[in-house]
Amino acid sequence: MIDQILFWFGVALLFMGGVLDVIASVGMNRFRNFYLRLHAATIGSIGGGVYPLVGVAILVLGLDVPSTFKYYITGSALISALIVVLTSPAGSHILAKAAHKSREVLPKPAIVDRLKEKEVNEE
Amino acid sequence: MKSSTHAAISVTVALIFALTVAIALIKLGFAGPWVTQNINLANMFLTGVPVPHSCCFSASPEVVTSVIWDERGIDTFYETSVLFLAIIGTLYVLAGTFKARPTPEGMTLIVRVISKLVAPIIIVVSLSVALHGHLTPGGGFQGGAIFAVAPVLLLAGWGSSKLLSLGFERDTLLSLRVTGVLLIALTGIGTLIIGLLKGVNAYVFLNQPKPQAPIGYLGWISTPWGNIVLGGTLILLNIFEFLAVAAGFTLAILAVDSSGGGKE
Repeated sequence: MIDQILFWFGVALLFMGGVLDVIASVGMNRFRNFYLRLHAATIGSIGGGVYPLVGVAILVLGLDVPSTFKYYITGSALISALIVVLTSPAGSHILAKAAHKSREVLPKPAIVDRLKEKEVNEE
Repeated sequence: MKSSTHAAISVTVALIFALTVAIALIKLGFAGPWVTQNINLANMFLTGVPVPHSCCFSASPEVVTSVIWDERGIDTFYETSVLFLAIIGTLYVLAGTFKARPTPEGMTLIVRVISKLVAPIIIVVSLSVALHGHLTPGGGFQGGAIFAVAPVLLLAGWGSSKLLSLGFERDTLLSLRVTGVLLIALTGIGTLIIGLLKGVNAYVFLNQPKPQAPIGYLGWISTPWGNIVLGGTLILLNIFEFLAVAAGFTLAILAVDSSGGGKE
């Protein structure tokens, strides 16, 4: 019973990851500027990377395989998920910051730009 | 010439070269969809390395590491020396002493905290890759190259003053490097010295006893719970190579940073 629940929960997470990846790729093509696309890319790496990894970790626990094998895969999948969770937001954050600071891409339809206000105030 | 002409010429040369190699491999019978057998050398290593009492037994299940450090160990030692000299050249050209740069401005709290959190994880992964080099794919060079990512992250997030305060000094790194390379050489000629003292035959970079050379390194430790595989010289050489490569890449990164790569 518990094996079935674990297996289908893992499959659901894997499926959700696939859907989020499709959404992210649509966003990557449809969004208009760099910052919006960065948002879509982060959906791809968190939604399409971390959810399937956690899904695999849970799915394997419900399978009928030797337990060393099970825990090996669960452990490595969870650690990979943790590393992606830590690094991906920091990476996209500093990309956006660098793009703004170097004036390479201007946040064009913007209501308010606090970073720019801060820079102006400092000068 | 315009740059587009350059690009066209280089692409054409690369394509012609690739085609020549492909045609030569097919003509010699090494490649193609109809080739289903390994070449004899590959079969020799694949069937010989894991089997005790064969000519190329390495006491390790990992064939690639065995071939790199055992069958052609002296070649790998020369590769390590090439890297050693390259880094010495980099230091000679770029930097006298390392400058302690403060934390670069523009780096936010998010990046700093994350780089501080991730750097230890990277170091653990690199140690695991290096210490399991005789069991799984990987090894000293790969582990050392992974290790060098941690100083890069800290350098980007915190500046070189942080690295220097953590003990990544030039002299420490240099001595680690020299120690690594020297210990690799000593491991390589260790059997030779023991063979000379005992009066038996031995080879350079000898791992396990061979038919003509009856001495070798400790291949595994037997415990009541099972054997701990050491792989003879493989684990030692992987550890020393890890030391040399990790310290070398960190030195190169610090040298590039203090030669004016960052902002003053």
